[in-house]
Amino acid sequence: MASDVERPTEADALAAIAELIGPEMAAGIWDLSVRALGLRRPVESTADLRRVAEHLMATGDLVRVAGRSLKVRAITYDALSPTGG
Amino acid sequence: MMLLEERPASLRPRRDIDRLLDVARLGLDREQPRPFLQRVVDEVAEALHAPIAVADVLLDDVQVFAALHGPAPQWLLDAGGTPIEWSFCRPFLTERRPRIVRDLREDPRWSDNPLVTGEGARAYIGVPLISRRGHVLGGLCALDLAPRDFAGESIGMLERRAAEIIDNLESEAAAEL
Repeated sequence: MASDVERPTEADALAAIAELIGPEMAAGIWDLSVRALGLRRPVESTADLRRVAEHLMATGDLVRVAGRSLKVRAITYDALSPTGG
Repeated sequence: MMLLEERPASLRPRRDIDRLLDVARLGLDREQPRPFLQRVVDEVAEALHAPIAVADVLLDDVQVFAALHGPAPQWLLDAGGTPIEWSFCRPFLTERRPRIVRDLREDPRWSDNPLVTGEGARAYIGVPLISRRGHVLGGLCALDLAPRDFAGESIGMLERRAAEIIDNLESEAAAEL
């Protein structure tokens, strides 16, 4: 089936992430993800781009969980510590 | 994926990571109102004549309240949870069986728990919340402020309500895909 969908590229993906979290954070997290997967930059195949995407999604989920945990612990400590925060 | 393949010794066991990803898949770590769960815990409290009922979620090192019925100090509402070591449902991570504790203050496992010593929790009944992928998400439980027994059919009722909660969470997650 003919399609006018453009092939995704690492540069486009990085630019999109940078728009959300800034270029330094985007470059850092991309680089770490690619390295963790044992890939090399630039990531070219769509299969590898998909692996990076899934890694970023899982990492984001786990960071969100850890963030919620930290928030609960910080509020609990402040509430129960004699000196507070 | 490093999370899957190159795991330094300091990382949590793979099964814990998978469990937390399942918690996140169902959005249970998020702070948001959950009317369906709230209705369930309200009805559980009424059915068990218990002042407190909770649907709690076990994160990496805290429990968070997905829905809470009953009185609670303001700090607990602000926090939306407690350290996981205070969670009466934490044992579900290793023992997936319903549990009843008639008197938490008489049970060495719980007698020095701040929710017992400070907030007055005395009796507990709970069942695990287990996702369709087989991970323990947390528990559905009720607490009383005095030692007590729970009627024989209470566990069955809680298990049915827990199944309803899982159906609801899984349906909502599927709808978001």
